[in-house]
Amino acid sequence: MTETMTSAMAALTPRPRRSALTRKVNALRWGTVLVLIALWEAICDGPLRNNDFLAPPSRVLTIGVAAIAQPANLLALWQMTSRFLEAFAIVAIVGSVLGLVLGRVHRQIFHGARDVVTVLYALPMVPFYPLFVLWLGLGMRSEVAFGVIHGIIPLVLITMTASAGVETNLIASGRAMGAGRGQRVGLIVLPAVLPEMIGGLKIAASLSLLGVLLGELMISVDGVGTFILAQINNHQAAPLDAMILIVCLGVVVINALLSLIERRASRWR
Amino acid sequence: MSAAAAPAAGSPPLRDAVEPVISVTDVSLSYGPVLAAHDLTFDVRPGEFVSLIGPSGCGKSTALRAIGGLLAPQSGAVIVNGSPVTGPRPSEISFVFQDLALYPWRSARRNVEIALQFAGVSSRERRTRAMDALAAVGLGDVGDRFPSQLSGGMQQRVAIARALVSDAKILLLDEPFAALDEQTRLKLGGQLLTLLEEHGKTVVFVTHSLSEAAYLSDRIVVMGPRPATIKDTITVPLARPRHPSSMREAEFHSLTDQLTGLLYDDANE
Repeated sequence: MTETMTSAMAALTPRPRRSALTRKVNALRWGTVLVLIALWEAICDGPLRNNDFLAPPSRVLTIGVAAIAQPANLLALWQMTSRFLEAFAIVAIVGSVLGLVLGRVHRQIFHGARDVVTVLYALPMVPFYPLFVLWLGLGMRSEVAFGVIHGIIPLVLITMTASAGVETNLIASGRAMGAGRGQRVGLIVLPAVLPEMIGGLKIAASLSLLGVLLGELMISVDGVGTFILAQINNHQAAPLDAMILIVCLGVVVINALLSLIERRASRWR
Repeated sequence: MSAAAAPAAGSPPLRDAVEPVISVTDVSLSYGPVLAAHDLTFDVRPGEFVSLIGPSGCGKSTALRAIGGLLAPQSGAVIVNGSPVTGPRPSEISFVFQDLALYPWRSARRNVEIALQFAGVSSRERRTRAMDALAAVGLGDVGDRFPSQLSGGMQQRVAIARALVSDAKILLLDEPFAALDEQTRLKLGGQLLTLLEEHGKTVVFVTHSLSEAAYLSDRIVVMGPRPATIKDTITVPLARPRHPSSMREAEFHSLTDQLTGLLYDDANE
């Protein structure tokens, strides 16, 4: 009797709502992607047939990707990637430290610096790029620097605001338990602001890549930017679109990796 | 003003001859231009449980912070174990904050461990000691949970375990049960009292609950409104060990009446 009741109840009990919701969200997400790709193919085969700048996905995947697999073009991709990685490493280290210092050293320093950094964040950086080239020369150094300047400002702003907002009593209790200044920063402030800081790193990664790419597009002799300009000049839609897609894919991968770290760092929330 | 009332029948075993472990002498405290407490003088003897009560915002917590070395007195002196307090002394004084100041990104066990981590205790030893401290407060089985996964009363006990894990003999408690209902508060208070007697701790306890102060304390320092001054120091006439039935004794009621009278006078002033 009890067994019958248990099995009947098990049959009546709905599956956990959360997994059902996740399945629906996933279906919607990938369904949207597939619909957009199908739409893209249909438009390129119909109204935009034989246009110079948007190739259908089928051509992008065949002709475009094959063109990018050429050694010279892979080199361009590597040049941009290495410049981005260098810029992002500088942003992550310098931006985090600067944000913590400006947020925690003194209240007045925080307020003063926040205004300056906010204004810098609002400034468009593009007009300054020729100056970077003049200061640092044509090539890698100015492109990396342009990537750094794009990514570092939001990271500093987010980190300094979060670290200045750490609850006073969390710090005071650390002091009462004998934490030195270094321990208070390393064991209290840093873990408290880590989720915000990783959120800042996600923004910084996209903007650093944008900075490097802008540099390559404006004044450069190599890299992905130069490749893109060449395809535009030569009306080569498939390689152009393939390269743009690869860059977008790179951004998605970086974002997903940082999101993974963000989720781990925010488990307690 | 701070003279102790004559001990009544059944009073706790206090001896005036015993050297005080905490001596607060003519202490005035301020936050910037705001005078928070004026001319405070009281002593706490080894093993004694002293409560500070007074109207909200009267400076009770400020006085506790001065004893804990988190706030320097503007004038006067705080002497602990024979030497003036100039900063936190984690090996002698533990502090439980009103908002508990648990680190939300650390599990209950790691919250307790951090007190030992600041003191440079090896990871193996601090793990064992933290588990012992959690077991002592009845939380041996929730060491891996984050504070957000614990009830208010459990969080409270984690904070107390963190204060007990060091060998400090003085415990400063700033309204630790303020967020709990009266029933839980008195139950936890009773458990705390037993625990502290077992550990031989000297306690200064800030509270705004008259019954809590009367039930737990050996002496009660009654403070007037801001800037805080001491109105009276009352010796609690209840025998130890205390039991919830102590709250039904006539002495308990006359004591809470006396405290109400003192605080009601403040309200009229």
